[in-house]
Amino acid sequence: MESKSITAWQMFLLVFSYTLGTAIFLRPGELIFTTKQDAWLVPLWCGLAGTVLAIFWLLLARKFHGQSIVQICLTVLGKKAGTLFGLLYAWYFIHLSSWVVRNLGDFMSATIMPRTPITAFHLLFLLVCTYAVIQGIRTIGRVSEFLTPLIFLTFSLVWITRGGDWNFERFLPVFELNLWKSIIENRQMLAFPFMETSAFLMIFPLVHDGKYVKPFLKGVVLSSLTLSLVTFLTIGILGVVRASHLTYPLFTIAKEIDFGNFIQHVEATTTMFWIFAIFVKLTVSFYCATLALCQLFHIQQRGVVAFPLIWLIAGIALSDHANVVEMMDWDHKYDFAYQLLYSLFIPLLLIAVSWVRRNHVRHGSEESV
Amino acid sequence: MPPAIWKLPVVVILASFLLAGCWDMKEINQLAIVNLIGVDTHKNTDKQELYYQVINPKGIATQAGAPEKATVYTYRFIERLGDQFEDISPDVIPRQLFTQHYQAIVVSERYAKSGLRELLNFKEGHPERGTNVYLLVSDAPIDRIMDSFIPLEPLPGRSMRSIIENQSEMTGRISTHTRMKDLIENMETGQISVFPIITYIGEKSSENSNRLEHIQGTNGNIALLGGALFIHDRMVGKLTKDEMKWYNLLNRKHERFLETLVINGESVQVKTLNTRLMKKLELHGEELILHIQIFANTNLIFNDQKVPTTTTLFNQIEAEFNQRIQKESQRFIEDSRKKGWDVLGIQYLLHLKKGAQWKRLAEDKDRWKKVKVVISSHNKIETIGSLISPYKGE
Repeated sequence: MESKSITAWQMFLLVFSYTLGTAIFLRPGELIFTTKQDAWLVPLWCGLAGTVLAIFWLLLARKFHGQSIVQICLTVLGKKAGTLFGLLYAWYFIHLSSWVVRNLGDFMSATIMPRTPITAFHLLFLLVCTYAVIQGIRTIGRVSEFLTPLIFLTFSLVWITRGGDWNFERFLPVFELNLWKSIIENRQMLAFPFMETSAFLMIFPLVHDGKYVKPFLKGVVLSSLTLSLVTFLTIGILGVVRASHLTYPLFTIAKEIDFGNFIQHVEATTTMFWIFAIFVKLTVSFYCATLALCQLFHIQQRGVVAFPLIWLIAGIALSDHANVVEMMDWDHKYDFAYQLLYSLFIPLLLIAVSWVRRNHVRHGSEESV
Repeated sequence: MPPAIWKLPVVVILASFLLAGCWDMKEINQLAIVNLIGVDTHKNTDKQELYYQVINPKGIATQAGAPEKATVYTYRFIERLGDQFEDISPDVIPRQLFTQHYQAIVVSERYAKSGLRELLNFKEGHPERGTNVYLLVSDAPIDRIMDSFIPLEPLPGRSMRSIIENQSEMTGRISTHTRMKDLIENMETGQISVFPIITYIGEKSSENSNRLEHIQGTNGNIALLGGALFIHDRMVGKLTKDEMKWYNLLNRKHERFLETLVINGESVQVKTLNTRLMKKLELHGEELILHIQIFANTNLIFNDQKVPTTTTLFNQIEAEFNQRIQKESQRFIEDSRKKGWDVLGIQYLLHLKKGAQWKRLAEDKDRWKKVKVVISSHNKIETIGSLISPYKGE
């Protein structure tokens, strides 16, 4: 079982990279399609709602200090019901991992390596992640420390080299956003990536000295600002028309870098660094799935769980959605409701049951007196 | 079993995972690197004529002193746009077509007039191709352009790109905002796009690399003729080279602008260096007025005046230049209006305005025709070159 811990800084980087992970590739184009030139505002209100949810999870974690969400389920609901809900969370993390790995496979197939079978990406990526998962959270934290500056640097270089294509006219007319309509249309943005950060309910007990509150909140807030900035830059460089038609506008921005007729076609190099962010997201969700099963069934060695999970995740990744359009359709119609279950309803249920049980115990002890 | 023995197969198996990259392996000797693409409508069918000009590596690597070899080969296919790439090219080309580095795409005038939507979707939707390349419209039969060797520059695609970029830098007659992606952006907003028209000088194409041994540089070469004007995805008209200059200036397509003035009966040539443009659409009662202000630092690049070079002369040149800009711009706008072309994108500007009143105005699709345009120019001579006082010859 995991006993090593990560520092507050590593926790912050994990939250930041995890939240950006696949969202930074998939969300800007979709947001610009629905909300046009004001799309950059959507991550801000989603981030705000995500922060409120984050505070709620932090309260839950504080109430059950030192326990992961699976352990909280067992404590509050007892062995049978707790195991059932714990398994639900384990499934959720497995499902999340399969989405992430499928997003990666779709991206690689559609952009850089169209002839390589998508399963090759899934298996190879999962294999690397499995190694990280077996090594433990401290290793994942250290890798994140090493990779995040590279991701940040690559993004910065891409935006700087594309600065010549900037046009402020692309933001006109400004602030035409209908807030309520935008909330309804883009509610899936709250689900993915912000509700998905509920996975950190598994990681909180592993943060050194329990200092996870500030890093977690900072990570959520900063990633929402970054998503907003990336969407803003995408509009300014590509324009609403192109960005809303492209599956991966960020990739197109990198592909069209032409700096002084000298630096061109650097999309493969830049993509390689951006994939590090996906690596962090996949590793964290995979780690949570492994840890959840280990905690439920008292398994000491993570490798025993992690290796079989490779096949399960790779299988679900292939069968869950046939293509990226199906995935987006599912995301638009059901993701918000699906994520609500794990990020709000079950935690609420846990709090309610613990409150009822505490009151019941107190009431019982008063009666016995 | 000693540990070293069982570790070896594990290492080999793990290393073999790296072979997964071989599915997308691209060996340079197996690639047909495309430099220029041409598209035309096929006369008798609904298919397209597609030309791929592929680089001949041996021709490029010709040693100094050795006779010039064919630097490119042109392959022609008659197929539907989406079919040809994977289906047809392996029939003729012994290498894998590689289109990531093509420099330009030339379309025939008749194809441009029939609409480029399908071509744009085809290019934008494929990871290997993309639309970040110059789009040119051919005034001449496209096979003449695609089947010709061009002097000085071994790769015709590269030559076209250089001409566009040099013209843009020197005269401002052509903008570098003439890539396929620029057409895509304007296609759905209804704004006008202008792309260079090229023609071929000569009776027949220069199909043999022996042409490179001829001293005649102009004949058997390509030249830029003017501009093809697109509304949505269709070519609807042409601009002359002179009109291109005004179009680019009034739409902030480039910072350079070259003009020859006659002052005191003698020539003066001026060039703006960093043109800045401000457009402001205002509503005065029921009348819409578009104010265009042009600011630039000007370089005096040719001065043949017989009067002394003084600030009075400079004031005279500046005033004449400003007046020319105002007068010629207005003339260009009026001529375009008569042809039904909203060259200033006024209707689009109406859509960018906030408020119900502006929305109501934008609903009238011909509103742009009723907008009054007021142009003011503010040029200041900044540099004069090395001849402060021209020779009078007397």
